[in-house]
Amino acid sequence: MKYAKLALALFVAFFVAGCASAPPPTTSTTSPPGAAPQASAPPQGSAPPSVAPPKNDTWPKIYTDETYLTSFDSSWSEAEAVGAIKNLQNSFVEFNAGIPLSELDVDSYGLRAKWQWVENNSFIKSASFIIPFDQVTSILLEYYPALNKDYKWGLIVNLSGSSAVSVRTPSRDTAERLGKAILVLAKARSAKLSIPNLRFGAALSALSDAQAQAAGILKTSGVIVLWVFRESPAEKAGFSPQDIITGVGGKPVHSTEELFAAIDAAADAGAKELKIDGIRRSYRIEDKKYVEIFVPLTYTLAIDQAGGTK
Amino acid sequence: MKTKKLIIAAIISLFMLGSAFADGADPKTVTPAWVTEKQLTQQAQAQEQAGAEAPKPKNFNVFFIGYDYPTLSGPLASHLTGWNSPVNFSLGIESSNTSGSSFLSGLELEFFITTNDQGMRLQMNDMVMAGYSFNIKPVRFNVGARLGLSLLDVTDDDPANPTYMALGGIIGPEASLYAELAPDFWLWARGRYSMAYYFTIDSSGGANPIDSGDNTLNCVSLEAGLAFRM
Repeated sequence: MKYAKLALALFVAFFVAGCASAPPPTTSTTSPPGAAPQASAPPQGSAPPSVAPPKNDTWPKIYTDETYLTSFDSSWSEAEAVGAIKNLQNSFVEFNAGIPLSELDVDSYGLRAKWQWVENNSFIKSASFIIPFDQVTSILLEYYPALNKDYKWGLIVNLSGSSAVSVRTPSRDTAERLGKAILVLAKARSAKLSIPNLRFGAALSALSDAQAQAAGILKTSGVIVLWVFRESPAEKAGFSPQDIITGVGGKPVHSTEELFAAIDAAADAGAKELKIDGIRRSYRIEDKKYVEIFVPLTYTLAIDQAGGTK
Repeated sequence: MKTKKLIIAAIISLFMLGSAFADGADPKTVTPAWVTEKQLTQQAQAQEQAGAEAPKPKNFNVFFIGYDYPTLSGPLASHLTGWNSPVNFSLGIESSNTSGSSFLSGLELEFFITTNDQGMRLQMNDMVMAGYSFNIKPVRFNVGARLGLSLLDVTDDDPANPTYMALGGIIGPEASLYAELAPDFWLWARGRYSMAYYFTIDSSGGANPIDSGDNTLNCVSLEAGLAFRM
């Protein structure tokens, strides 16, 4: 039986080698890190394109936050504005913290707010913001649809020389009351305010070289829409972010001032509406590929006799 | 003719003049590029998320164990009639490349053991398998062929009978059926016909049947048991 152990060892080795060479179980087909996602499906109703449209930083960013057009006009006195802010102490929170204020100090020169929170069950931390009324440059009424919190309305108070202050409120009315009060006090402190043109209602900018080149026009042949205020005449006329405005009333537009001047002139002349020419960046599907195109558009802007830049 | 040319020129001029002052498209009819880009981004994210959440089909990689009922035949079988094995079992693995129908490989170890007052008999078959697996839901039907080694060890306490150990080659076709009882859990049955050819590697107590020329053993194995996903 001298070969018995040898034969047995041979058998076991054969079996073990077979097990080791068997293919390993594969239960996951996860893509490797950094793998490119598959080509997207097309918008409904069109042929399935194989290539997604190119993305670049040439065009203005699209914001998910909604900015509403409002003048924040009121007949409040300074004292009434200060009182209104004090009354709202428990009704607004700093944008990121989302915590009710622990302190609010307001006078005709500025608003100073502080909030506190507990960290690691023991350390009390605090933060604050200041709105110096003489440095206010603009106030924007915001709505944050993507924010999954109670405070979905808010204000952005832009300041000269420092970062903007953002606060959130539970309702539009609260945000508007706060905006009105800040505007009254900013005007009283002779702040250099930039009021949006209420007859139009869109943020505009001069064209960049890349934008003009992509659209096939001269840099001075138009202005580009950064964003459109909700509930504004521009929104009703069909303007969209990234549209390029090239003409108004049949005349070319070279700057934002020219556009607003033409709108105000039409309003002064008693016009009910005004034709504005523009170009929109869009896509056409050719051979199952997205091709960037620029489509000439004509907008009909309803003229609001009130408002304007005056 | 001169008048006709003038009229045509006038019409063309009028058309060109009209085109120059024509209104552009209605903004409501032209989808902004950023809207398309946003939709595509959302669809890509949704696809990616759906892909991540969708259960991945699993490959057929199993470990099996079961009872084995052998029926021996051939010249060597008559010498083993006193060693009808009550303890027979098989175990092994089978692997298919995909969750669908595909090629199959495997490994199996069969044991036939008899222990009684007369002594002990051990037969051990160690076989690799190559075949094809048909995924005919809810069962899998596998066909293939096995090739391997067979070890036969007969220890007879009666000095009049030989005690011997033999090693052989074994080959044969097989078919098996796997029925899924639960996720990652199968009931299986297998039938195999195998032929083994032995040579003696150790012997005592006189001439053994293999050395006498009865070195062939045929076997029909009927097996059944449980299998688990690896």
